Amino acid sequence: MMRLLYALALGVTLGGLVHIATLFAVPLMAPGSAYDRLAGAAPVGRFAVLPEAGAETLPFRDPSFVVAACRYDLAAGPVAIRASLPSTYGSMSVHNRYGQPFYALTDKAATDGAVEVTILSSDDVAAAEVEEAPEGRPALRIVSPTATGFVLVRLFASGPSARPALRDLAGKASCDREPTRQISP
Amino acid sequence: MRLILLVILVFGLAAGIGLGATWWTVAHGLPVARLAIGPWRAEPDAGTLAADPYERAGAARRGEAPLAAGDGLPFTAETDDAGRPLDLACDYALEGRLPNARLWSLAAFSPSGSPIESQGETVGLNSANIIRFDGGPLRIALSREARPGNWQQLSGAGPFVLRLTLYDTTIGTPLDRSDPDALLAIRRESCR
Repeated sequence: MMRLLYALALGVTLGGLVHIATLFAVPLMAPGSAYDRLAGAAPVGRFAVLPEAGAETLPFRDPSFVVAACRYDLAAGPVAIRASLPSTYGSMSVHNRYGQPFYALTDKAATDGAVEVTILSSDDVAAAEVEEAPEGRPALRIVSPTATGFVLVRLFASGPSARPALRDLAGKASCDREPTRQISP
Repeated sequence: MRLILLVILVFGLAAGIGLGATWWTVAHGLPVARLAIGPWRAEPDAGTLAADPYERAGAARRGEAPLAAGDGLPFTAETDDAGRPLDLACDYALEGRLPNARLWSLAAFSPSGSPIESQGETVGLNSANIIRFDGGPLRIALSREARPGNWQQLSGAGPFVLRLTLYDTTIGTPLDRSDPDALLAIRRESCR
């Protein structure tokens, strides 16, 4: 009897450990994560406007918004994002490989109707500090926790008639590699 | 022999409890630690890097990119006020007031997250296309047939979920979290 109780207690304890381990493994192993879903719709390094319907590309997408997505890969260096956000309501959010947002700006933060952000990997931070050009607008730089990820530009459409223009605007957002600057000795 | 049976029992129990708990919590979310206002549920931390492992796993399983916390806060309703699951065969009347937000939107989705289409288009109600009545609360009808006032068409069959997203809102922040206001009440009307 004691042995059975002992076995039950051991089973429950191990069950807790299994639960914790599998829970942390879910984002790493989930098929059809947001990044994977975007693989078909948005190429690396360019914004693509997502289709209006269907859950295949990003489920639970607000139908009142026009959404454009761009996947980034920091292996080749920092990526510069530039998006126009109209003052009706627009936002730009940067998500890591597992879909978790780690940075977001709304049109309130826009200068001249646009936001500009440079995404760096943690390895590139020191280099970027050396390269900082003294002139020009100070660049907004954020460090991505993962080497790949995606950026969403979401523009509010107050009605169907506003959509075509917003789709054009969202598609014009850029997510190229940052132009490399010369390091002066 | 008994020892082998006990070992099988231990590992069976561990796998059952561990995987079962993971499956259930990822599919349904943690029953506590959420912001609940009537039938509406929200996870204010899900859109930050401080999201807990349950929120991360849930978002990854749904394939969703959570809304950043600085952007907005989505509330999800899977049941009506009486606790019955939302069904596309029924009509619903939503009524109430909404907390301060720069913008809000309401949309119906299938449980897997594709928007409920009406006449081949996906349209969502939002604060820019809604009709308000002077002095009265906000009223929205969800029905298969056209209704006067604010109407969101339902089509298809089976369960659905409602998502009410408040953009640029303070609700969900620590200051407001202690004082949840009533959101839209969801009343079921006739079913077909």
